[in-house]
Amino acid sequence: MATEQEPVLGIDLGTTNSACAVVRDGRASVVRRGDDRIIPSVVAAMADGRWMVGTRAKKRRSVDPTNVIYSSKRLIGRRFGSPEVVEMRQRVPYKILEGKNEAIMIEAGGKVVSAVEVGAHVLTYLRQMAEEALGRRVRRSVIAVPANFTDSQRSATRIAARLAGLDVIRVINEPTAAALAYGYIEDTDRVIAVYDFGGGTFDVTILQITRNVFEVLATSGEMFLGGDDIDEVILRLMANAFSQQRGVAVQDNPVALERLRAVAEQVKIQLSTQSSASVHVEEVLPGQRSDLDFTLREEDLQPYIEPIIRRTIPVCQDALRCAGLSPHQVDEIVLVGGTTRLPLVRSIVEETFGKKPQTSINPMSVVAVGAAIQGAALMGSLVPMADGGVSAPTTGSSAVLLDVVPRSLGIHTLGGYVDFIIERNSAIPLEQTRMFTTTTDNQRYVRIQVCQGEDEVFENNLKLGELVLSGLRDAPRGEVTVAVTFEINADGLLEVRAMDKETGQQQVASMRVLGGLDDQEIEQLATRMASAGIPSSGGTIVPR
Amino acid sequence: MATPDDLRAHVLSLQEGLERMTYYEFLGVRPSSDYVAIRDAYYDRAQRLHPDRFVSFGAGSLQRSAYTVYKRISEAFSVLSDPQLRVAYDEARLRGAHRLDDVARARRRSPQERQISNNFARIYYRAAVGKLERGLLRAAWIDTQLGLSLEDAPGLRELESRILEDPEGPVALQEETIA
Repeated sequence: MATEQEPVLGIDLGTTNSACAVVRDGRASVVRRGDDRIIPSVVAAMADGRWMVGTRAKKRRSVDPTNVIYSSKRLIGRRFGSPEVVEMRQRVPYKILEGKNEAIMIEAGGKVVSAVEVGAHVLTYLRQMAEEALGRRVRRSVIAVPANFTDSQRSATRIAARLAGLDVIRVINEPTAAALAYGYIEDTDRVIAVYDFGGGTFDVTILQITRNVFEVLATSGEMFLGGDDIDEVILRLMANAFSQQRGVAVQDNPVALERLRAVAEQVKIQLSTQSSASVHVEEVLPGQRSDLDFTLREEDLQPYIEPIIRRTIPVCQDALRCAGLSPHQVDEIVLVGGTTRLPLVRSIVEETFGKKPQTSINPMSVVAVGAAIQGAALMGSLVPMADGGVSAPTTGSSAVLLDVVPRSLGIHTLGGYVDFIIERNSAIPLEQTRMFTTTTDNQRYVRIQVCQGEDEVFENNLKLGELVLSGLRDAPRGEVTVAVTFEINADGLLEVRAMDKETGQQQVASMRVLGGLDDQEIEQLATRMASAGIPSSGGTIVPR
Repeated sequence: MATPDDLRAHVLSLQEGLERMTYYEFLGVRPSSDYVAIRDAYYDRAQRLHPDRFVSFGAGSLQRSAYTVYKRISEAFSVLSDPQLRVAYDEARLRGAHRLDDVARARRRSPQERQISNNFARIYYRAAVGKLERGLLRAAWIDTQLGLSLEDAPGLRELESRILEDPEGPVALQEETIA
């Protein structure tokens, strides 16, 4: 029975918000704490040295912006010098620093923490929330990541989960999880477009399901396009309204803007279900009589946000083109992310694909639900059904996820070019072996630079790190040949092993991942995490 | 419906064949089977033997065996589903090989090919390049158009204009159209 087996926590660790779910008594349920099912992925450093996570941490953005870390998912597993991180450093009020090995560190509350640690705080919060709701220890998890996450991002997320006391039985792609939540595993072959419009990012993924096998055909996205852009528009409208009502400009007042920003999001949420939203904001300028009464009608907002939402159309077209499909060949459209609740988003999706999107599952928790269903399916206890429920085990009829490598993997060769070893879109797991020969007498080690990307020139790709083969035997040059096997495992993670061709001896192959952490650093983090308390309160679980 | 014992037996028999069975045997198809038959066989194997099916067995030797076996299934499909690699493999098989070696499998893609993300569009591109080299303008044109119907890639556009600019190009295309 399901109740006797330890539940597997399905986790959606989002850029803006996170959620988790479990399958219990044959049903997938979203974990809830109080009224909250969605936890802001925000971590605040408090003056007393503790960390605060979630809604309360998010509220601190307006009073203590430099010590509140948000959007840390944009940083996890990246190198300090990468363009995304450069962009982030300009956008966020907290301080991003360079750590050892090009790792990303964040300064908050007088402490310097790694991006992995920030993710671990959010995950710990989710785990504790689930444990309180279920009344038992939760260890196992299935964690969802964007389909285009690189090897370093996937492994960094795994480490964050480990630090949070979670054993990750599978890393799953977010769009795949969303499709699983809808139970698209019946006998019919289908093409599904997953339209994920979150707080800060937009992604569209085309999935093909053939006889219960899931394949990611294409994925495309915009790094900086999301609900935050819509909040920004509403914020501007509110600031203008305030200037008109009070005769004081607040467009350049950061404190007032932060106060209004929190309300702007509320206005957007109201407009997802109503045609008009009204709010009263007290003391926009702290300590002054400066209340704001603000009303916004959907039709007045539309001209401002339509251009933002229309930016998702070319991204959808790009994904379709990569998948070699036209819009009418898409059978279902699944919506993910809070922004997809806006009626205008739904109508633009309908216009783009020529059919109505699926809306029966809450787009804010659909990924967590799918991850939980996959967790239960992996443990062989339950089989998901089309209605989102789960049935008794019948081996062989649950979905198999057949993922592909999102980016090619290559190594540095003479002249600064790339020798591609694993091609993009190859089905995983897979392995490829390459031979490396010594070039000097008694050479003791070989260094190999590894990258991910599609460019012929090494430097134009994402550099993953350096592979070092050490402890080679003494021999004249050219006489030691090492066979190096690059393997992408079922989680999409790179593993490397090496063997001396002549002696059949296993060689030491260590991969130093740029922006990554070594085992010793992870140990230190684990100790630090154990001592940092995260406040908690009672939680419950509810059906999704 | 397969029982856990059937599953175990299936994995072990394939593992035993790792050093001797051909890709065709691994997927349970014939050397004459077409792409659709090979794809279906692969999906069928994936359904039954994917590593995810063995998570509940716990970490152990069966899980490792299943993983090794599945990697070979995946390799077999990647070779047999690619016309060029399949030809190379069939030649290697005549010389007694059961597996295509790593170097042959990791065939270098040209920069133009690399820009094409759709697998079938890339296959058409490669075929068109080969046919163009042999002066088969009409055949190259058809492959280019088939490729373009899947993906509007710069490499395919370039081929299209090369065919049109070829002094023989328009003639070859016209003749075929009349015929």
